[in-house]
Amino acid sequence: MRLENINWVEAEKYFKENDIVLLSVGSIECHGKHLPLGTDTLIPVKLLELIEPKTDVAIAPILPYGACDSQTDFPGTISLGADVLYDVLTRITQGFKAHGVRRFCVLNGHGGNIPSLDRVALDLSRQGCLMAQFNWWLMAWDLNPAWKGGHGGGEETAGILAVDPNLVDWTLVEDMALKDVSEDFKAAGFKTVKFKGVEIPVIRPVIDITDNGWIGPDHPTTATESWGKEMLESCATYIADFMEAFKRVPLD
Amino acid sequence: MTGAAVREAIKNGAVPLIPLGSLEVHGRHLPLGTDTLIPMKILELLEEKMPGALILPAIPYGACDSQVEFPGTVSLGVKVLEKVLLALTGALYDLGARKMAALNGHGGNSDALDRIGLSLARRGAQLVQLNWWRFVWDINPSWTGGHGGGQETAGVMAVHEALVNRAAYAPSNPQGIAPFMPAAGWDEVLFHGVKVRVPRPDRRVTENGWLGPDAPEAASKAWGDEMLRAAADYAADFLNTYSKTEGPT
Repeated sequence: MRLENINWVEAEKYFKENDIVLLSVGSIECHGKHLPLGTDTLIPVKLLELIEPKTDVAIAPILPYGACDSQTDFPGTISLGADVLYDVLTRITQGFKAHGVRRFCVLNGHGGNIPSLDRVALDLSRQGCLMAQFNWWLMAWDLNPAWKGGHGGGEETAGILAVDPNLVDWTLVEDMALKDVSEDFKAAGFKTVKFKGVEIPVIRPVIDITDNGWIGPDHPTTATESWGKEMLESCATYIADFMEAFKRVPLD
Repeated sequence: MTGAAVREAIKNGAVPLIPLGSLEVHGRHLPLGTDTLIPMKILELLEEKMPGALILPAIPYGACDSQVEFPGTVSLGVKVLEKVLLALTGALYDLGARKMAALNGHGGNSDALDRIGLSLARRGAQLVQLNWWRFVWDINPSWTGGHGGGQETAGVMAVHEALVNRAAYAPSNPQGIAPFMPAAGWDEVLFHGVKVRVPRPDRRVTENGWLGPDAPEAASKAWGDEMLRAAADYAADFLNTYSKTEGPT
């Protein structure tokens, strides 16, 4: 059931009988040259489509912007930043709380949103509520370690193939080429350099680390539509099961 | 030091080092200042190796909003910590510093350090995060630990053994949110083999206040001495090499 599709009379009935809601948040940001800017929103949207027939939990509209300040040098990337995202999520969750929600589920497509979600979750927890975050790409690793991936790599490319194969531009897939800080301080990921075998965080804008915008152990060319479909189906089933159990968790 | 001497040191390549800690619960057996005391000890050892190190006064407060239910814990929160660091790094920037480092004792400070690191990077500067407890895992994986566990207990023993109250050692006994959703760390629960993030105040996760794979009982002063020495040596080596690299552009 989608909140945007029901009227307030039906909503009143739902919130009288239920104290749980499913929110979603994505991002519009660079995911390598081969993937669309909306990758972190499109995959959750597809997941919601798969979750909907498996649950009676009300589904709220997805927020398609997130916190991705380190990527704004790439054309088309827009970031709310962590503090504004926190404020937006606070208003939305407090709005639902006023309608009687105590169990918040958030489907999230973007790692950069987690610190803001954590802050909101902590506030809600102190107000007698609980928030569960479904960071789908992390949960997928627990469901099947072979699905483990990075940003714009095979895992997310497979996810987009499951949304629509036409959204992947295979002609633009490049190898990952990370730019080091110097000979001694090699780039080791989004946030770290390696010096004498030890990883140390040195934050740089993503465009200073990679020209094409994807980073991960999972090359995009390993992605297949069947991987994506199986992965999203598994995540959707898991999320529906979790929400059913989450309804039975005692609250303060 | 005088302001002129700081400017001169920066001009000569010194990388200003900002010690950053926290005042927060670390179990019944460890002091609230654990995350500040250990970096201070590392600095003492580092200075022996690196007499020219440019060390700033420590910031003994950090971001630990999830722990304030424990008596004595005080949190600046991420936004305010960011402002404090912005002012501090801004002053160093104005003195000519383009390479800076933080010696950090607390994981909750990382978000604010990440934000400052990014804003400095956009101004042609760089901030290195020397998260001591984290980088020593790469030096010796057997030192891997959690919050207030054996690793940090060993660290505090190296600072001053009397600061550890061995009589108060107790299991952390983490609590989940339901029998079918046990705790899997501070912020996660385990359901059907998958970890799902359900952040709660830390006091609801453990009444004792420490959490990790490394029981405090495993700590020894010898472990702490060796670990902090290794951390100081590595940090000195890093800073010496880093000070000679071409700065960010």
